[in-house]
Amino acid sequence: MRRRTPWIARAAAAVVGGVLVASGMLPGGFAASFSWASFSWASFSWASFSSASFAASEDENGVELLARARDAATNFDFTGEVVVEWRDDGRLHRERVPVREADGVLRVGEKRKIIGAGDDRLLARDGVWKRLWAGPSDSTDSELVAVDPERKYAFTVSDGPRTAGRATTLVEVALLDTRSDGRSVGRSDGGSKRSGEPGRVSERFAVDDATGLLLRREQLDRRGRVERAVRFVELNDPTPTSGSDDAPSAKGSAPKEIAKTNAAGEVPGRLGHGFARTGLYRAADGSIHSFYSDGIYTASVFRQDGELDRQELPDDSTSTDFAGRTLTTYSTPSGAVVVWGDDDRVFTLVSDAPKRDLDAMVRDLPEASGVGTATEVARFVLGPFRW
Amino acid sequence: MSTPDPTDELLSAYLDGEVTTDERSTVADALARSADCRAALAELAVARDAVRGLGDPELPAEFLADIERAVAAGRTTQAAAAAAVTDAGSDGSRPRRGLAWLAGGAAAAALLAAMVIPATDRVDPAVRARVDAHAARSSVSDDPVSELAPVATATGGPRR
Repeated sequence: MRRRTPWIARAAAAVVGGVLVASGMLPGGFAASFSWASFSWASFSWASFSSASFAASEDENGVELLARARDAATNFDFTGEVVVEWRDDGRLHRERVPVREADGVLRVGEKRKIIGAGDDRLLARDGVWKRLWAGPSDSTDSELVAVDPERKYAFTVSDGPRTAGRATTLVEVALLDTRSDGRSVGRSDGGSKRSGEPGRVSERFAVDDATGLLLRREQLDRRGRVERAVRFVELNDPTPTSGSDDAPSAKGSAPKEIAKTNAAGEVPGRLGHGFARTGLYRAADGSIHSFYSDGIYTASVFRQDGELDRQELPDDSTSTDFAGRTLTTYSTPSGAVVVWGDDDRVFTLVSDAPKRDLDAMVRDLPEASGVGTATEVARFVLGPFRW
Repeated sequence: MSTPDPTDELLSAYLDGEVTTDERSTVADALARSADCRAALAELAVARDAVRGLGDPELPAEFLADIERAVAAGRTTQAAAAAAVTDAGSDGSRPRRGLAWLAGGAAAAALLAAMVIPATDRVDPAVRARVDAHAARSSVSDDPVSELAPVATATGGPRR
């Protein structure tokens, strides 16, 4: 196991990086994604980037390696192919997806194409680029809090498996302080970092030694089987990005960042075991999108006004009763989808988190309508007279 | 002998702050003494808040045409009612006319209520679009390749 970087070294790297940010010496795409939340990681990344070698430092811990991997994808031009695997109804599905990064524009997919440029995300539909997301992603929500994954997880760093013919460093992530019921006791109330014995490994990351690119990510189930995975099977000569290109023009409205919502009680600032809201948005259809993270996994909760139209639910679902709700669930390559609703609201939860976290999140979200009896009676009486 | 509970009308006025000092005192005494009275007040408060919290209803595209049709129908009904009253009531007495006005008022109140209390719309949860939006947002703060590649699969995800 590798030793951790002393805090003084990380602080020095952050200061050096900060000066470089301020003096405008960062690459275009890099500066565009700068935020105070990512300041220290960005600074650290640049401190590494500016050195002669891109190799992973012997001193980097798991959190730092993963933070650097997030930035590396926008710092290098490359072409390659990844394999996406996901388990659905006991069967492991597999599909190859081409990827290409050039001048700060990432192109993913062939039949279903997606582009990432800065904080913009575009999806091709019927030959037209549709806007999925537009930056900046840093919310002005005053309730947002920083997420420290080391309060919930233990990180272990070791030599990794060769991936796409390249040497990697493996980062294994295990839940800290797990109880017999699998629930983490990691605090989410701003308390101090937890110590304790790590549980089973739930996530594995393989980071390219030469570039810092994330070459492999695997989620493991309770039995250690791969539940979901994305791994490069081909990667051709990554080179540092030299230019900055623009994304193609796109149609449609991206979700808009909002500072608060009247439905705040229905989309809490904290969710499940250690998830904190790191973004709050209003989608073009009026739904509220709350985005959560625990530092390793992410979750989105979409809240819509109205009655769930079950005719519109895709067919390949599973229906279960849980915590007083009838849930419709889907397994996708991106993670699980859970939909439930009543006469007045519809909730859709999308997350790559393990099931124990999904269960806890659903429990924390509203179960039933808050509409008063008088309104219910009035709707019943007046229902037949609606135009 | 026990004091009767305040009427709903008085409780409603109490909620709206439209009572005299004596009436306020009466209601306060009743609330302290009677669980039924407290329950009645709570129900009225729920109903009042429900109506006040509705905001401005979004009017259907055919709203004006519907109103015109409803008004025309109301006129026809009133005319028919008046004719019936005239035919049947040889004297066109004041009580019968009062009943007709009462019926018209009730119809108007029902129409108003139907306009004010919103119908719940059926909504499409748009599952595939939610998965795409989540991946897009995740890819901004996390590794973009591993977040976007899953939604770029042709066979993965909800089939709609």
